[in-house]
Amino acid sequence: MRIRCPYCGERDLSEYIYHGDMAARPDPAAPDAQRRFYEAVYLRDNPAGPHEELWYHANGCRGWLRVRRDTRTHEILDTAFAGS
Amino acid sequence: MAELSPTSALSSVPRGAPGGGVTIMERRGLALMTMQARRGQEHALRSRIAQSCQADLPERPAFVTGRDIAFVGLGPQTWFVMSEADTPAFHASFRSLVGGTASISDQSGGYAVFRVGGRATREALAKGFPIDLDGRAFNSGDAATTIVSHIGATIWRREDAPDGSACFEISLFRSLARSFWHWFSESAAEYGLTWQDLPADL
Repeated sequence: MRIRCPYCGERDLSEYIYHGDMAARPDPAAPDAQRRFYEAVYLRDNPAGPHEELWYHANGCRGWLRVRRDTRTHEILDTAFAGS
Repeated sequence: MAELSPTSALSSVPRGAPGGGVTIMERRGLALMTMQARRGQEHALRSRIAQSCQADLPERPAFVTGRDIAFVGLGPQTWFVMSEADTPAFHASFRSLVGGTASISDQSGGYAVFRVGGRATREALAKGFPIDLDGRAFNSGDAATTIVSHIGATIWRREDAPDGSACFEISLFRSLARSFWHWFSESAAEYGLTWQDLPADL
């Protein structure tokens, strides 16, 4: 599997670390924070198809990437820096 | 006071293999720094570097030289800085040049830089680098931060040698230089490996 880094170009999977779902962390100050965290941790979507996720280019530019990956085929549909 | 001089990152290791397919030398005594532009200061940093060092900071993984200094793009707004003038005066003047536009971290004792060449360089490097170093994909002036035999490294290509063979430079953490050497000497042995600068302390 190869992932195209916006800075480094296309690189092997071994340069990256997978950090999981791109979904935002729940607000700990929300009145129903406990339920939201329960849902975020245990009731995550597990789509068969495109999935937005975070990857860290640890052995490259050390940037965080937002990657859209098809979980059925591992096709990388889109990549961008997470902060962009 | 005795003059302090840099020692090799690879003291007392066996060197070389008969033949001359690959050459390697350690570029010792370099001033090495990592530099990261501060938020919103990239433009100011660029103009200061352009004015004082006669170099355009690369916006991609690339190697550029300026007046007595060289820069390698490591990541967005992040560069590796090299100079042969590893003196307190140079460090002080470069720090004052960039001022508040970038953060500087002195890595002179943290990284080692090797220069490799010879007709079989690419064949030897291909055994460890997972990127395409062919001339069509990796030109003079191109750089890449990647791994070599599981060791984090940055590689850039310099101008070809007079005989037309490619010349690369590789930087990596100095503490991993022996592991790199273990891989490199084994990988280059079949082509013959020559050290171009036996350190004086051997």
